[in-house]
Amino acid sequence: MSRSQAQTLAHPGRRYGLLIVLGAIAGASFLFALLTGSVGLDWQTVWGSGDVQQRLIIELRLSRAINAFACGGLLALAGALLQVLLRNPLADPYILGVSGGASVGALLALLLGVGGVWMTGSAFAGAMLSIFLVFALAHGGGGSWTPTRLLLTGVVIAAGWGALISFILVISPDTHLRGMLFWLMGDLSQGSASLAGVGVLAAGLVLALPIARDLNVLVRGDMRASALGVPISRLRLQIYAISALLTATAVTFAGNVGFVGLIVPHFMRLLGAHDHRILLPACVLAGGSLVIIADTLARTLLAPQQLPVGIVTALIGVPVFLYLLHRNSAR
Amino acid sequence: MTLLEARGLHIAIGGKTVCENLHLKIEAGQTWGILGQNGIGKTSLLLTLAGLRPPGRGEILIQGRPLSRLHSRETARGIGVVLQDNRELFPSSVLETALIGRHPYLKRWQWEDQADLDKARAALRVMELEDMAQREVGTLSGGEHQRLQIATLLTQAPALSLLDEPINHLDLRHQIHTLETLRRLCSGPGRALVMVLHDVNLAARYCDHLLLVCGEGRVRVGHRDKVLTLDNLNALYGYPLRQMELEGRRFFLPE
Repeated sequence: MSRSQAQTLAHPGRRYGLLIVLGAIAGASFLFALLTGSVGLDWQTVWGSGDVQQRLIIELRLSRAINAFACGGLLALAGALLQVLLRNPLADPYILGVSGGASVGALLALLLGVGGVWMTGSAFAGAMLSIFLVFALAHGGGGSWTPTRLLLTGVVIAAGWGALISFILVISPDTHLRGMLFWLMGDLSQGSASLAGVGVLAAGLVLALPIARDLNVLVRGDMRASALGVPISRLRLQIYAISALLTATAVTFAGNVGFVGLIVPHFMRLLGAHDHRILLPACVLAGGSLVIIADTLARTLLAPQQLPVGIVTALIGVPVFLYLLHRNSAR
Repeated sequence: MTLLEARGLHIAIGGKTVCENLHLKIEAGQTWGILGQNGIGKTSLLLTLAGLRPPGRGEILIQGRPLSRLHSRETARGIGVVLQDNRELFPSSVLETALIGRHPYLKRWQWEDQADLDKARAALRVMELEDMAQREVGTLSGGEHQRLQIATLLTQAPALSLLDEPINHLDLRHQIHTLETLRRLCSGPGRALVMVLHDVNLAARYCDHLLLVCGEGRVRVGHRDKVLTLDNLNALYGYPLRQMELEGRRFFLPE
């Protein structure tokens, strides 16, 4: 047993074993998304040159799967980062109010009857406003920027957004309510393939990987991290900026897909990915795969009725996670 | 070789003065003990010496260079710190935890190699944790966790080791074993050891120099034989002690 870990650490091949498996799962979930739906396709059609209609279906499903992957990857990565930043295993991407701000922006756009780019822009503007508000208030007065202070500021701002969301829902005409509720519960049905999501995900990972080993130390406490030479103020700022941007992007084009950002990082830790150099990319792959599978089920389970993907992520995630938790505690 | 020098150090915490104009030289080969009542500022003093807390006034030199001008990674290669009660919130194995001692030595993209692993394993072996290398740190007892913190320090292998109550939670055998190990590995040629301790007799046995933090800015610094007197200790703890001699060693017992 102890030998195997020495080898895991010393040999790149074994070190990346989990990532290779998760990469294969991600590929399989893309294929699952392409082949599943009201029009049955087989894999030969996907690779080969089916007729125009079939190609169109493939393109639609592919762009939706790409969005789903980006959304899941963004949320899981943001969740893993925020759990370290706040040193709180219960932290998820929405805890600091970023999604609340985005939701208020999106609901206002829906209330005014504007869609498309305006709604996306409005949601993103709301998210950014929330990010700056929390940052300025938690930082304000020259006081130290402790995880507790940041968490409390974020939670209070999130509660404020929650009240605004309820207010908008109450004053909105019934015809708008359904669309609003779908958006709030997480909805990937309206997006055309957005390269912005994938781009921000890639950028987030590129920015996070260089600080991944620092996270291994920061997660053990500020003082200990400082004592080991980690510049914690700068590191915290980096984590906050990266995770806020990831969350803002995810919420902007997919609404509030719950559960992924909280559970996927823990799921990966339970599988043995304690080292953030492995944990962060593992979260991207696993979060992405989970949302692709959940979204595919969301559009097929009750077809032609579509379910909000957030419901399905929770329905898949809860039992799997509880099983894993139980298995680990029994060992 | 002077590993750490404090010049005119002034430390205050919560409006109370811990030390005023403190001059201190910690030389290689020395073992220092810091004694004092609860809440008197021993930890603040230790953190200040480690560069983790800015002093009110004064300067700290690490091997002749001002601490404030050293890069934090550089400092971490020269100074190792063990803090009090720092439990892990996220899963990690015992070996992985010990390995973070190598953090200051690794370049940004560098992974721990076999040599780093060997150092961590050797440290775990010394602290009698080798069989637990794969254990989840959350499942360790208080004493085992304390030993793991010291194993992490041994993996870091700094020139100057600063420990806040290193024998907290340890049983009698492990207290002695830990102090013996620390003195053997962390104090010697090129190395020095500073520990906050509460046990006067263990301090008398293992430390050759002492720093008594008496409160209201009063600090007594010097060699054990000069500092460790009945009068000083009575004043330090505000409680009468009695001195006894047994087989050539001095022991202090509370009245």
